[in-house]
Amino acid sequence: MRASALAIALLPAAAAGAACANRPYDYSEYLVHVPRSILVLPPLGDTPLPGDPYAYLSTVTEPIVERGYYVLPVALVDAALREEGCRDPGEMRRVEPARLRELFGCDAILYVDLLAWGRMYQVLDTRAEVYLDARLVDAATGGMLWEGHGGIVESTCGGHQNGFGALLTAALAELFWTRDGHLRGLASTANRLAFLDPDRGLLPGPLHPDFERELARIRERRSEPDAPAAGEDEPPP
Amino acid sequence: MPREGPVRSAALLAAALGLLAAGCASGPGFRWDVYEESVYRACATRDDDPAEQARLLAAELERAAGEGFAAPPGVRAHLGWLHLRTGNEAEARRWFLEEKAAYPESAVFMERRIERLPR
Repeated sequence: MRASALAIALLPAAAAGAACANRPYDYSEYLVHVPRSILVLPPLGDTPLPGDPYAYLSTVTEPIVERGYYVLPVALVDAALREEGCRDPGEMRRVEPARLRELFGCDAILYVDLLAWGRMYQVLDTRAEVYLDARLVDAATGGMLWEGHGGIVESTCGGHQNGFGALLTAALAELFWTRDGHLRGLASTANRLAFLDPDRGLLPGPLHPDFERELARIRERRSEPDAPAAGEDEPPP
Repeated sequence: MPREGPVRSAALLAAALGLLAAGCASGPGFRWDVYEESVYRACATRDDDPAEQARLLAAELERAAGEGFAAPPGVRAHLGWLHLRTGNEAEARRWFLEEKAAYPESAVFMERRIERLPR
């Protein structure tokens, strides 16, 4: 009996479809309105989900701070919105960006949808999956600056197992993966795929040490119409 | 929890692969996991002990400061909120002000929170 855990990362470009894979992301709007501060709302999850979407919230701050933004304290934001009368993330999402800006002083709002969050049980296979879709919206205009996706699937089904071995592996997975901690670990990976992708992720933010240089580089690349897009081959000389 | 050899190995293998799959989120500097655990317990389980979490987070801030690393965005404010929930309004005010001083981006929100504190 052998436990085979197979981790498959779903790349944001691949998930969006092969046609989009090589086209560079259009950062036009974003470059005009790079925010300093980002309000991350508690995520929405498709129901029914096996896991609690709130478990995701603890993972979202680090990668965005790493990218160079001020991220408002997520637990305190959740508490403040509840004090304002929002009973759940669905109601929080319906608050107008301008009102959120008034309450929190944020430049932009990040809306996260968990399209997958939890464990799925299939015959002879247990899968843990996190898949998120995120949109960054300018708080003053309500306009969308950026959107991205990222996900990861981890499966116990490796192939070389007899029936009993597979059932035992699934039982172990149940014991181990019952904890939100595992999903939160997978979420960290999904976040990095979505937010930190060098070609389609968040732009470096104003608190990033290389902010000016990185933005100059991106603007320069965009102003060269014949420059190869990310992933494409160089044109012949 | 499994105790015997091959069964435990399978669990350990899954744990190791889980770590790899999750990526290496911590490096030198401020340890995010203390803050993230506090956020998780407060928001997801809704069953945290604010006094204990405040103690743990303050210890991490002190440890990181000793190595020359400042607290990242939101962490001081979160500590203030933990203190508020234990009834320690003076410490709440202190940490909201420290967040505002460290990150002027937080000024609007921190001022609102301070206004709501009992005088």
